[in-house]
Amino acid sequence: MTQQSGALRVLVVDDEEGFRDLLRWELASAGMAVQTATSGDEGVDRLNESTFDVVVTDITMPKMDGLKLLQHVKETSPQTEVIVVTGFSAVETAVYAMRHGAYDFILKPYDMNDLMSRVKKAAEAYSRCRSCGRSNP
Amino acid sequence: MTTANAVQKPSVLVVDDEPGLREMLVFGLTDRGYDVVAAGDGDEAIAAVGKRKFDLVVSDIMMPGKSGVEVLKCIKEVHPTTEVIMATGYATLETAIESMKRGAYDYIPKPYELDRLCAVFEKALERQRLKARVGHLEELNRLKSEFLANMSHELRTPMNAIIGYSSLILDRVYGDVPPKQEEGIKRIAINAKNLLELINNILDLSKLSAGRVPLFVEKFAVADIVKEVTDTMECLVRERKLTLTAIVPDGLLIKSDKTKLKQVLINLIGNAVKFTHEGGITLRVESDSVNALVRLSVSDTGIGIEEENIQKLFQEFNQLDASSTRKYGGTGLGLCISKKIVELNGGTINVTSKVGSGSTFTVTLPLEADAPPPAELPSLAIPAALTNQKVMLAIDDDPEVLKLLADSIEGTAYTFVGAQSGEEGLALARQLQPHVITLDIMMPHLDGWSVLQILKNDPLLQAIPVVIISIMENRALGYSLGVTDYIVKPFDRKDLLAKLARCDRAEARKVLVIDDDEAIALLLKDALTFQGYEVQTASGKSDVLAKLQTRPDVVFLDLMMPQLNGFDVLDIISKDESLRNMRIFVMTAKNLSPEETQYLESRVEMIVQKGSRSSESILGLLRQKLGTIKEAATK
Repeated sequence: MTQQSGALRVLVVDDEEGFRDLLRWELASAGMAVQTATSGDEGVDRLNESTFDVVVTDITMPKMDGLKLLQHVKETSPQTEVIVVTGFSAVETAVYAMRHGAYDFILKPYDMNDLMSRVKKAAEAYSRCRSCGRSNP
Repeated sequence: MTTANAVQKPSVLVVDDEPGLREMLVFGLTDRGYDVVAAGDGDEAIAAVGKRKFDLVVSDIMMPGKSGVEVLKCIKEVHPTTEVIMATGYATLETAIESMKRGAYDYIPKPYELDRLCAVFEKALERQRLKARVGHLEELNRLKSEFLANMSHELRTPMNAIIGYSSLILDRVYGDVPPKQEEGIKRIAINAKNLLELINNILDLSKLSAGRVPLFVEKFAVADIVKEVTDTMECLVRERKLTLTAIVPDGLLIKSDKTKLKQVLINLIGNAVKFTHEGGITLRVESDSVNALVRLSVSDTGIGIEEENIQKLFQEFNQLDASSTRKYGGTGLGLCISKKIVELNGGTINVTSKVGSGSTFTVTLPLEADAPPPAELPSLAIPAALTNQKVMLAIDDDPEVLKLLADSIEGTAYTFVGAQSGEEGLALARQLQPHVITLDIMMPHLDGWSVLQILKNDPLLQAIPVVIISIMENRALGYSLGVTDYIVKPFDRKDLLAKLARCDRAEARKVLVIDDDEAIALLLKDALTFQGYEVQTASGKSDVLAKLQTRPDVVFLDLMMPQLNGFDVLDIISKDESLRNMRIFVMTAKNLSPEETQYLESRVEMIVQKGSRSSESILGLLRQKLGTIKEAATK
């Protein structure tokens, strides 16, 4: 099986333009191939077109929210890791996201270095998953 | 794996340092039909888990000594299928996330509400049962893939014998073939090839499913591959009176697995041709530089696909309609293989269709696929200087094996050249005229047996010794098709080097045919030369004696000759030490006495009664015998 020697493919989904662009810029500067979407629906479109190692998604978005997107990812491409980022800290939401297969749950505002290292960790988990052909638990 | 069922009570471990809460929980849960054990701290809990496996654990987080999260970690290491529910009076986001990351099933607030806790338990048990079933199904699926892969190899072996021998017959190796028979044998050959293609597809698919297909990513112009594909398909398209139009932007470069992408496009266009009765097919390439994607779409003006069938298109072993397979041909696996290949390249494949007006299949690929570049492989550029060297050409689709072979012969007199496909191997063999070829059997598209056949039927290549290195054990077929040696993977270096050394000697497989009947001698000579042997004929005493001194490996001996009969020759051979290892085949028209038969059987490999069999069948027997001798020699 192929290893991820090329750029990590990351999808950033957030309706806030500032957050989205900042994250795209930061991740791209770290050598990742980044695509963005402004809503869950648009995220689904991107996911239909390409395969991603990691999806970073906000929760509160118009139309399809981040938790529904998480569910979609885990149903259609279970090996892609999802990091949920949110400004609202609720234990129930975090437990829900983690139980539905999120790789990590991060509160805004976040430390960029911390986020970056979690994205890289998630990508490692993705390639491990892919190389042993195992689907997510 | 423990599955809780109606007969056996689900077992629960309650971990809490507050005695009141703990006892209440033990009482409440026992009352509701659970088999409950209690632990007052982390250490006690870990000790309990070490003794037996629980279906469920409910653990407090904040405890003196080992915390709940540590208990959770320990339980998940020992019994990963145990579902653990974490409980706390001070819920924080950090401990919640940490618990869930470590594999907790749920995270609930204290004080305990028994009804709520039992509801969580039921859900957790349900998940446990489902997981056990999924695990079982996954195991079955893996066994199925393995079975398919193995079965395909087993099926290919006889297929290759059928195809191989049909082609030998059609090449008149066994003598003349009357036109009626030729027609029949051609039909056998064509059908056998179709069947082999089906088997190969199944093998491809099971390899892809098992994730055992390596990618060879390279940078290339899309226009090049489109031209290659349209050239390949043009004939088919013209035959069906259709048109094939390609629309490609100039100078668009992509990084992907070229051969596999070509396979996908050929498959899509092949399908389009199959289901289009009039009109044409368009292959369109568009680049999307914003998203770093390239889209390749194949549109046709064919019969189209019903909405409800579109989802089924890419499912394995789910043809839309078996009758269409009979009508249109094909294995129905092409699209599944294509989908898997595209996904392996990091892309997707979609279809839109309208019944009666046609379908469009769109492959979307990243402009740059991520896979190790093939540059690190030992092979492939061939320095011009190689032509004068002792080259070992290794043909194997697995780059790891090539690397291993390259390493194995380092420091020997051989220079290594590797080929990752049968086609490439044949091209390199023609170009380099290697000293020896090692050949894998199980390769996609053109397998080792086919490569072997092409090698052995090419007058310029047939003399090159071929060593098969395969995980398949089928020496008999290998030797009967003319291989010099056979190594079963995994090979060891010493064995490989020994066999290479033997190839040096085996190179001159010298045969001497001693017969005064010129017609028979010449027939044998032609047939054996065709098989790559170096053949001399001899008749008459002085001629025979002289040619025996060239130390042939094999002697074909007629018994009834005027000057010097076969028994005399056997005497001479047995008296000469240096001729001891010679293999002798006796051919005679004489009716042998029991004593003569006994004498001969002790000294020769085989006795063939002339006239009792056709010359073709004699040749067949000889070849078989030579094969088994080789086999015995290698054991």
